Amino acid sequence: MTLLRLAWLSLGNRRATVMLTIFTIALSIALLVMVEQLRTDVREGFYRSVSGTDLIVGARTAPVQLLLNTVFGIGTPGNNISHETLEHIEDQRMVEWTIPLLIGDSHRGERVIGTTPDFFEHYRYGDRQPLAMAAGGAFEDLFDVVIGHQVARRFGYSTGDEIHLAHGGGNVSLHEHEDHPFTVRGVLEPTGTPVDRNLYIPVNAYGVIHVGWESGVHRPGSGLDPHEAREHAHEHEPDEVSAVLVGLTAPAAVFGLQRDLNEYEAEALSAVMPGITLQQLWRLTGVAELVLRAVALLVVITGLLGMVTVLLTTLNERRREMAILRANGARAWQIAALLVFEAGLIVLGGLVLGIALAVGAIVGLGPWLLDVFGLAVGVTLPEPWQWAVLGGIFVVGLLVALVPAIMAYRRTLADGMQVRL
Amino acid sequence: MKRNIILAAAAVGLILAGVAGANEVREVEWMDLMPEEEQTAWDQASENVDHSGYASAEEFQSWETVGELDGNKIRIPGFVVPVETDGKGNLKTFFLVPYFGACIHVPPPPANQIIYGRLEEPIEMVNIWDAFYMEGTLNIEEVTNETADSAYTMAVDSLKPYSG
Repeated sequence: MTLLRLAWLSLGNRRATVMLTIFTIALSIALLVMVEQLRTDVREGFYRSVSGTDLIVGARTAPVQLLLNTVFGIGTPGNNISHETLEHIEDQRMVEWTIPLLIGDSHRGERVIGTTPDFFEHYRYGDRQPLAMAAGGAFEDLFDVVIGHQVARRFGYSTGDEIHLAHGGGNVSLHEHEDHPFTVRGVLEPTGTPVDRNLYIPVNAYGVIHVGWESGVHRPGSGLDPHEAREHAHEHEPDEVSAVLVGLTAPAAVFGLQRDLNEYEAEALSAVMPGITLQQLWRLTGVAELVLRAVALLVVITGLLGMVTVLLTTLNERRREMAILRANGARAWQIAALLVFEAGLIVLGGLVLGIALAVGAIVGLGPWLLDVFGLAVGVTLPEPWQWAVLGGIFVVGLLVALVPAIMAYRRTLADGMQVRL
Repeated sequence: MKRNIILAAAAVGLILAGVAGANEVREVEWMDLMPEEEQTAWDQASENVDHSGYASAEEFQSWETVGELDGNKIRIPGFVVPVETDGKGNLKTFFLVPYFGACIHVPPPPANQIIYGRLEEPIEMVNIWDAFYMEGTLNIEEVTNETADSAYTMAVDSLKPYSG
């Protein structure tokens, strides 16, 4: 006990150096904790976003690509599939439901997706949770839009508001579909998935607002006025969709249907199972994650080495302190133990402060990450193995402190007492 | 006296053996899941494949299940194809298939070569590139679709890395 007290007081005597050392270790621990937390949050975010969908079908592309641009809103589809193909999929036995998705337009940087009311009925996220409306409901009129939670929050939209959609993607829109304002019909409850950042319009409206755009840009004076459009909406079923989410009546049917669609002769399709594709994605990102973890671990090692350096350099300054302790009856091993205790206190301080910093950063940056990257982060208790890593760092801290401790042990009583000239 | 002891020991041995038998987990191979007559039919079917036409080649289909396996505790090695996860990405339901790649490059295995596994408690996601021993109670479930009347499902007790 006396030793601990002495260690504490001695540390207090060198406040500035010790605080800096603790801070160095704290920063490295914070980095480690944050990397791990973000890693699990990103994965969870992806897992949450797709549930209950048996197959995703789009134009032929890499499975990961298809998954990313249909469900996660990363990138845009390279090609669309024809309406006939959509009907072909719907006609397959054992297909319970389909959700067509039309991707390409945006509103103030957020994606506008054309779909059918089936989306609100069949789409699932998290643990098979259905979408719920915070206000309003699904489409009633051709020019209705249902918006995600983030869209409503960021732009302050509520039901009944009128908005203009932009042609193409991008954060700023130069070409708006001005003649077709949309009315916000519903606002979705937060889901913690990319749905929160999307705007959904009826698939036919996608067709209607692009009348007059046949040559790639809007031909002035062309297009339908909203009234005409409503009357002719059924004629403007878009002849293409970007992708289709498919739900099956029997899970085992997925293999056969996937095979059939991938081999479909009329059009080159890719049908992917979300579960498998996510694993392929993790395989890709796994390398980057590994690098991040390695860097974080190296930073922790640097922090610990910094601590040893500080302990070693102060040994000289503290020659007199040690000598007085020895002269008062402290044994050599007690001097060594004193140094290990000190290191223990420093590492412990670093661990506690580091975790606090990480939690603070995650809580502080959370809203920003959600706004900019749509990444929902939260603070969770470390898993058992993470506690083990943190405990391991503490033990390593004690072990490296043995170096200065042994040096102190070897120095004799005389060392500090001698008058040197 | 001595004889009594021997008899008692024998009785205890028999009881122990009986208990062990009741809990015994049967190690099963994928071919055991296919009725014998279908195996024969399959051998013959694989000889002549029709390469003409647009439709994908008719895969050999086999959807009869082996009735006597219903309710048995079995252990079978295979690869995991994840189907459902909970909100945190833990595995809830999956297909166990005899070989990796059953999902992408080749025609899917016949219906009776796929087991739909349900986990009572979701477990941490497994590596789909590794093989696993799946242990649990095999059930034959009636399914109402056009290609099969019954399918294998399993209440999975454990999923352990396959070794050797």
